[in-house]
Amino acid sequence: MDLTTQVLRDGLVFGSVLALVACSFNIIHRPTNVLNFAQGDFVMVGAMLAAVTMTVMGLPWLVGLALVLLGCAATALVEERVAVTPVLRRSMTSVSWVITTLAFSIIVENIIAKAWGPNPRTVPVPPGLSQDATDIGGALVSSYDVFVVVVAALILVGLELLDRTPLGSALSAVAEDREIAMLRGINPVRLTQRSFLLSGAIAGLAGVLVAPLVLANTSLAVQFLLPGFAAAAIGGLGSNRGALIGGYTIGLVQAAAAAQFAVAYQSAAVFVVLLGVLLLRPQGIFAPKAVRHV
Amino acid sequence: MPEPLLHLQNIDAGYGHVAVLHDVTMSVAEGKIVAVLGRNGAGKSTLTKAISGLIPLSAGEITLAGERLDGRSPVSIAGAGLQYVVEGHRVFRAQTVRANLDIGLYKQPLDKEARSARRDHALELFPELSTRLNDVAGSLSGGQQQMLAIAQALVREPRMILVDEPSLGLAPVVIERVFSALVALRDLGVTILLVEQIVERTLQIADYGYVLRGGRVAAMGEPAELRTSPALQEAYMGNSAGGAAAGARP
Ligand SMILES: Nc1ncnc2c1ncn2[C@@H]1O[C@H](COP(=O)(O)OP(=O)(O)OP(=O)(O)O)[C@@H](O)[C@H]1O
Ligand SMILES: [Mg+2]
Repeated sequence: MDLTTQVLRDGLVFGSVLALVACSFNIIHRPTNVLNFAQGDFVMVGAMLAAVTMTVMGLPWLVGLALVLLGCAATALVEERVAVTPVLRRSMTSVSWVITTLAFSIIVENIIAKAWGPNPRTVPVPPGLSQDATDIGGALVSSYDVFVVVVAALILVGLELLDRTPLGSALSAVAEDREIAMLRGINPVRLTQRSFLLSGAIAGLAGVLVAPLVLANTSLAVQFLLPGFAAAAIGGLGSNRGALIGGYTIGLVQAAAAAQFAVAYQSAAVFVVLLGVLLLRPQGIFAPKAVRHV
Repeated sequence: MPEPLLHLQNIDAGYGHVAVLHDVTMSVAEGKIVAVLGRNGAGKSTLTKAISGLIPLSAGEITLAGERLDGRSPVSIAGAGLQYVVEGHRVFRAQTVRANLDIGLYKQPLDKEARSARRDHALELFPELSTRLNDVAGSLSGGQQQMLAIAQALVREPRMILVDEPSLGLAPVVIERVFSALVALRDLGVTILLVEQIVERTLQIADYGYVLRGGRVAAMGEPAELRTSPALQEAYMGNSAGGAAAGARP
């Protein structure tokens, strides 16, 4: 096993998961300007629900996946109803969502911990795949690793295509000028709800994908919040391509930090890279088309 | 007299505890250009925001073709056939001209041909935009952005548009272009409430006019009457609530 190529494998696999989390941040941020502190919880709920449906209940992987996506989308919609839209209704520029989304996150974590306890749970890989690694160019790579990377990339392509539909254009309109969007008949609250549903489902998928690699447990929420946000911020909030590059970057940084120093240094390394990039390019690497105000 | 298309009855509106409009009653007849004149801070934009549902009324009622508009959301009022082109040629600068027009058609039950027909129709008034369809709106000149803002409101084929100070920040020749497009639009049957500060040019194209001063209707009448109305002079020159006359652009 070669350390460098192994770091590359870890970076790409976990980076792919982070790219999904970064996208899920972007999807909510776009129509609301909210950075959702409960984003990591969708990942955690996804992993835990996968453990319950696939392992405990023994449901087929695809059925379990469908239930996870529904469950995470529903969780996200509850958050939109109780913690986001009421705040934004009072004032679009208010930042009370910092408190309300954080509160939502704490509540979700407590409920999940109460329901299923603190013990990590295993989650199976889809049928036909395995985590048995073969040596490829010095790295130990499994068919499941390849699956994770490909699925994440496909989801990102899908989101990029979604951006080109009238729905995508309406979302950009709401992001750029909510008032004019409303005057032209676009309902921002309805778009916000759809965004939460989609964001919850994608973060939940990230949870399903990562669970076989790390075991499902409640601390996943915290583990994915900061790196997921860092990936989104580095890539440029709102950009799908940026989310992918940001995800890979953070994934590689974490893998390198773990290999060079210790797992405990991962967060510090993420912070350093995040600060470094944002100092040089505050809007991130792939900020969406700049909106210049004259 | 036929029933007006838009009618405001004794409306009060403002921002939270700041009352701006007081007891405003106005009518806009179908197929006409009705002007609202007044200097900076007179409450013109507050009026258009109240009509379009961006701010709530604290008293009074608004009807469009007999249908109540007050208390409804901007999205619902747009659905009733009223489009508001706000002050300051605000368009979606990061999106292309074509996308800006399509946004005006969001969720409209139209097929592809009907959509492009609507686009072409709106562009007939502003041919200078036709060659810029694939450019981002942020790269257009101020005048072109104003034209795009109006065209975006038109693709939905509204019964009525509110246009807030389209002349703002534009060169005289460009103002001419925009105003002649508004006249052409009126001749096509679209009812227009035109909010302006530039008095003479506005009265030339208007069929009727109101003068706002300190959030109240200070005068109303046919353009010829208003031109000689002392209330109009006072609204621009007088020392009304709002300070010195320096901001006026007669
Ligand atoms: N968002 C707001 N919050 C509080 N007060 C406001 C707000 N917008 C406008 N006002 C106040 O309402 C009054 C009328 O403003 P309004 O924008 O309606 O004037 P206007 O006639 O459109 O002026 P202008 O010609 O400068 O556009 C002003 O005294 C202004 O200070
Ligand atoms: Mg104004």
